[in-house]
Amino acid sequence: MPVHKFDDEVKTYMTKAFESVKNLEGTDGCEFVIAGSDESVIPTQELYNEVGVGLDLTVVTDSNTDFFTLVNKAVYQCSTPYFSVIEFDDVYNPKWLVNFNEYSEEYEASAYLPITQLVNAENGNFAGFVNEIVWASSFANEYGFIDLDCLEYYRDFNLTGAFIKTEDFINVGGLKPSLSIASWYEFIMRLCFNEKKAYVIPKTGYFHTVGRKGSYMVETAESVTQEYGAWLIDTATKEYQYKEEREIKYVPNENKEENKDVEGK
Amino acid sequence: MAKDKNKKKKTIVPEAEVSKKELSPREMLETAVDNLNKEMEKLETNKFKFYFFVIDTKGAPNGSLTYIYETAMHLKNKGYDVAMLHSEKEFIGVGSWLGEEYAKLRHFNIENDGVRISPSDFLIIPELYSNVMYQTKKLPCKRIALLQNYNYLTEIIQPGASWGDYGIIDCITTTPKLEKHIKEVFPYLRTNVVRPSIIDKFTYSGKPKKLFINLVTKSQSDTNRIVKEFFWRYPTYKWITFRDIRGLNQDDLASALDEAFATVWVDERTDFGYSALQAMKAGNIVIGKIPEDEPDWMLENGELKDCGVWFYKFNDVYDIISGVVEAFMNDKLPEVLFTNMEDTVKYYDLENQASDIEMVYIDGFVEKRKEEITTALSLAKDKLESMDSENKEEA
Repeated sequence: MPVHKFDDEVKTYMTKAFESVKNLEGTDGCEFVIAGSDESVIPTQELYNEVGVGLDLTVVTDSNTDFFTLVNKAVYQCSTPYFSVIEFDDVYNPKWLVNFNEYSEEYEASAYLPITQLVNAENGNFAGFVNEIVWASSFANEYGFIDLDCLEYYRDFNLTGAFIKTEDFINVGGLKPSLSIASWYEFIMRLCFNEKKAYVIPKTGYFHTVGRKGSYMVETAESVTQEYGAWLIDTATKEYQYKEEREIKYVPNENKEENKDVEGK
Repeated sequence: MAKDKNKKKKTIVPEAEVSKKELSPREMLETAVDNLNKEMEKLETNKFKFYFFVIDTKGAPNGSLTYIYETAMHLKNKGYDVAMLHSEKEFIGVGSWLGEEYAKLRHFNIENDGVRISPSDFLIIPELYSNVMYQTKKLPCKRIALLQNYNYLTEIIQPGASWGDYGIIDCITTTPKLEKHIKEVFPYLRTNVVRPSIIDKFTYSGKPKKLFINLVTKSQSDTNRIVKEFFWRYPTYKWITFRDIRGLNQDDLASALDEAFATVWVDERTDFGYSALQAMKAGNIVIGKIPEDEPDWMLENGELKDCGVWFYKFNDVYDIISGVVEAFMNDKLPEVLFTNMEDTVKYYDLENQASDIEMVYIDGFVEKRKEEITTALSLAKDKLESMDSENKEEA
């Protein structure tokens, strides 16, 4: 769980998130990692203990509270073969781990995504599904599997909640924080590019809160202009072929001719 | 070249040759005793035959036809001689959907092949073939009607005619409900139930289910209506894949059922409901429109059994599909549903059917036929003895 801040609102959501981890069936052998700044991990850890989640806990601190940086750092601390990222305002379905175990026995992949239910932060109502599209006829080359073909024209996959093979995540290079809102999209393309599979388990495994004011994604999305957002997506479609994060400078539209300054790291 | 108008059409004929020489009453009796002894020997050495009339569905899978072929195959595997009869010029058969081993059972075209039937043989005639029942009235073999679908019976038979008029007094049917129904209209019938089986090909492999919903409906318009209206009413589920599994061969059908988690079944006039049971056996939740006449397996103590999700009104299907999808995705399908499904299909396994076949065909009809021939032999021999006594007295 990456934590970029802690306040009363966060505490309310986080309590539910921790309870959902506690209610997960089949957590023998599982561990929990909290990643964040010093200011946020201490109260988070206290809350974790208060809820009584019960899994072995590792705490990772970093002054850089960027979501994707924290995820990378947390994964490097993982000793388990798979990991799953839970945002503090989301919850797991109690059966999600059991379903992951069942489906991963049969269908080989590096990442197992749940069908995620979007939950409206304002009223708690159902706001749609995510990741379900690979089960529609004529979408994917193989039902349930995400590949580069479908990523070419569809990018709205949500990887929080997914179980990802730790070794493969590290070997393909982890997330690229510089790509901001396009990081997960670029990662999954890179995974597929490296001939790793991503499979969507046809079960509701995760409930993702959307539209919460003050959330990392909302704040980030608000700070990203439409043009910059399009540039991020476009860059992602080029960068997935590179394992390392390359420094790519974005130059706003009026200087478009100069917007190709790339330095390899 | 002119057609030979005198050439008789080949059809089913008695095996015994009728002698043209005029026989004395004693000679006729002696011939009868000889023939009866031969027939008795055939019965005792399993040299008699079971003949089954079949329709040709031109390659389309059919539950009723499967039942007949399964029965024939079981008897063949038990060492009995079986043959399938049809009247098609171009017989396609069942090879493509049921399997080559069934297609390789001996088949005869009664129009061309001239089938010879003897008193020890058994001729099983489906309810659809009222005309054959009539045409074979004078054959010496045991003729048995096979009733699987009551609607087929009423569709073909002439108004006012009954099986009794065709000399049919024995009937095999597939469910106690059908048995009761046929005895209400033909009370003179001796009836037997040989239950169908859902073959082992239809099974649940245990692999995690995919998010597919199969559709089995009697008409394409029902299929269209279900899919299109469901997406209109539940646009959040527009991504659900529905698969029309009508017309698939058995292997593809078994595979499709194994993969999917649910099957929508609409067949209001069925008497049995093979499709629903096949789906259940493969671990599918059956979302079914209750037929006009509920099959036996659907009821328990007169109430609908919780082995599926049932509905009466067509428009209820959409809400039910949505509910079942949600329950599947959230692992909220009740365990008792699966337990009841298992119990329901277990009653229709191959072992139980085999037991019924042996009890009805072998222990029933064959043994009964032996008794009849024994009685006839005894009467004929008594008559011969009586003739001998009379002759002695005269002498």
